[in-house]
Amino acid sequence: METILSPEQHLLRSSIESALDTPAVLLVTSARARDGKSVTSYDLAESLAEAGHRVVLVDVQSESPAAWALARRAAPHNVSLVRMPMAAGDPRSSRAAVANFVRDLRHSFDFAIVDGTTFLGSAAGLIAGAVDGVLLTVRIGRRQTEEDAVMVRSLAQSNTRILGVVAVEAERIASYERARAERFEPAADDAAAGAAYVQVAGA
Amino acid sequence: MKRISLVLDTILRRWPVVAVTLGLGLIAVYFLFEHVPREFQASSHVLIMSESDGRDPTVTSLDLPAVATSTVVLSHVIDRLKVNMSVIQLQKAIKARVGARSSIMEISYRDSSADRAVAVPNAVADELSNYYDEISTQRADADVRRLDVTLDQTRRRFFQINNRLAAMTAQNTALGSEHAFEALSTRLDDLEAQRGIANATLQGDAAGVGALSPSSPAVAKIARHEILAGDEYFRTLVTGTSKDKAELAFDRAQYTDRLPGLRELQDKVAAENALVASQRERLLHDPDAFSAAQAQAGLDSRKAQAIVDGDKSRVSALDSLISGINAQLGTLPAASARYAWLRLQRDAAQADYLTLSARRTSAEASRAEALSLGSVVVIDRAVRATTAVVGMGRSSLVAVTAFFVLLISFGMAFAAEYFDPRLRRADQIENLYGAEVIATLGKH
Repeated sequence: METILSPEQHLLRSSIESALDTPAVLLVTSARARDGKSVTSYDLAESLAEAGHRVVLVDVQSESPAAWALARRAAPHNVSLVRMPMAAGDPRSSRAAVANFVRDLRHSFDFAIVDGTTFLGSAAGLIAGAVDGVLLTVRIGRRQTEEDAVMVRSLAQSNTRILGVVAVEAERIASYERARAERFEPAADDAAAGAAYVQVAGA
Repeated sequence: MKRISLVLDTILRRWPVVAVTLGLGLIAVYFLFEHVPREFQASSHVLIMSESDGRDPTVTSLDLPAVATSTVVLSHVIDRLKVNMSVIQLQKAIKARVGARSSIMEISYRDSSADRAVAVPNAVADELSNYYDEISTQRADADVRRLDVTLDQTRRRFFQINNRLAAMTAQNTALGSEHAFEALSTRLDDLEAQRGIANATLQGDAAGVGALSPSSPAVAKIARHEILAGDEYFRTLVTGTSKDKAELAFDRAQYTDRLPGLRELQDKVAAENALVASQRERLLHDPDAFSAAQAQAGLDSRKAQAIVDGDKSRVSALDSLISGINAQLGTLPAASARYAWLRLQRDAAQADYLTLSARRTSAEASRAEALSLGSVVVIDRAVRATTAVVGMGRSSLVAVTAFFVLLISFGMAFAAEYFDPRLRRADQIENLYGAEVIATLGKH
C-alpha cells in the first residue's frame, strides 16, 4: 500500500537524509508534553520508509502493555516498531544498556527513530547522549516556558548534535491524537501482546 | 518576500488588534475632522529696494523676515488692528520668507477669521515698511530729537534772560541807553527846578488861604455890618436913637442944662443907647445869624486850601522822583554792569540757537538721505483669504491622519506579536532553541 506524503514530510525527510549518514539513530524529543513528538516521529518514519530506507520506530513512551499494543497497531505498515521502556529501575536504563541498544539498532536499520519522552525526563537525556542526533519538536502557539531554557542548556552542555526543530501545529497534534483514538480501538489481545515484552515487532 | 509574508501573517493573525485600533483611531479622526477649526490664510508681498552704498546701517534681505516677525513690528500690528492676542501668538501664526536670489518677501498669516487673515499680513507689511524707514533713519532721528531738546532749552534760556533785561529796564529806564548818567543828572536838575516852582506856588496859595479865612478881621467886620444891617428892628432902634441924640445935641447947643425936658431927653437917649447895644450883642452872638460875605469867604477858603493841598502833593511827588533818581544814580554802576552781562548772555544764547538750528537742518538732510538709500515697498496686498486649512487641508489632514492610524494599528499588531510569549514564528523558535526550523507540520 502506497502512502501519499505531504510536502512537509518530504521536506523533513530530505533534511534528515542530508544531515545524517546511514545507519543513523536519532531522538525526537521536546521540552514539554504534547509538542508533537509522536506526530513527527511517525511522519518522519513513514516518509523515510517510503523512500526505501529500513526504518525502525523506537517507542519509549508506552509504558503500559495496552499503550504499547496501541502504538504497535498505529505504526506505519512499512516501519518496524520497537518498544524500549525506560522506567526508573529498569536495567535498560543504564548508559551502557542504552548504548548497546542503539548499536543494535544501527546494525539492523538504516534509520532508527526514537519517539522519546520530554527531554527533562531521565530517559530522553540518557538516550540523547547515545544517538547520532536529536530532532526537537515544538507546538506552535504554546507559551515559552522554563523547560525550554533548561532543555537548551542541557543539550548545549551534553554536546548533543541538534538536527533541527520541527514546528507542529496544534491542530495537527490534535487530529493525530483523534485519528489514533478513533481508528485504533484497543483490541482484546493488546494486553497479552504487550505483556510479551516484544523487542522487535513487524520486522 | 519571506519578510513580506511574515508581515502579512502577523497582521492577519492579529486582526482583532488591528481592527480595534483602527476603529478607535478612525473615531478619533472623525472627531478631529469635526472639531478642527476652519482656518484661513492670506499673504502679502513686499519688495526690498536697496540702494545701499555701504552707508546704510540697517538690514539686508536675509534679515528682513526676522524684522517682519519681530516683537516691535508685531506690537505695532496689534495696536493698529486692536487684535486680542499676544505677540507670541501672532508670531507663531505669521510666516515671512524671502526666496533665493529674490528681493520679494512673502508674508503669510493664518487665522480662524477670514477678515483678520487678510488684515494682519497687510498690517505687517505696512508696519514693516514704516519700521524699516524708522531704523534706516534712526541715527538722524536721534540727532534731530537731541537738537530739538537743546534748541528748546536754548530758546527758554534766551527768553529768561530777555525777561530779566526787560524787568531791569522797567526799573531803570536809563539802563538801556549808553549815556545813562548824563540823562539821570539832567532829569534830576529838571525835577529840582520844578520842585522849587512848586514850593513857591505852595507858599503863595497858603497865604491866600489866610486872607480868605472867614475869621479874618476884614471878613468879620463885613459880616457884623451885614448882620446888624439885616435886622429891621435894630435899624429902627438905631434910627430912633440917632433922632433923639440929634435933638439932645441941638437942645444942649441952644439951651442950658436947665432946659425943661433936657434931662428926660438925656435919660431917653441913654436908655435907647443901652437898648441898641443890647440888641447888637444879641444879634452878633446869635448862632443863626447869616452873613453872605462870611459864607463866601468859607467857600473861597476851602478852595484855596484844596489848591494848597495839591501844591503839597506835587511837591511831595517831585521829592519822590528826585529821591528815586538819586537812588538810581547811586546804584547805576552795579546795575549797568549786570545789565551788560545779561545782554552778553542773551547774545550768546541767540548765537547758540542759530548754530543749533543750522545743525538741525543738517540732521534733517541726513535723514532724508538715509531714507533715499533703501526702502521696503508693499507691492501686493492681501485681498482674499483662502478657505483651505493651512498646509494640507482638512481632507488631506484627515486622510493622512487615517493613514497614520492604519500604521499605528499595524504597529499595535506587531507590538502585540512582540510581547506575546507564545511561540508562533520560526524565528522565535530558532532564537529559543538555537537551531533551524527544518519543517513545519500542518493539518495534513
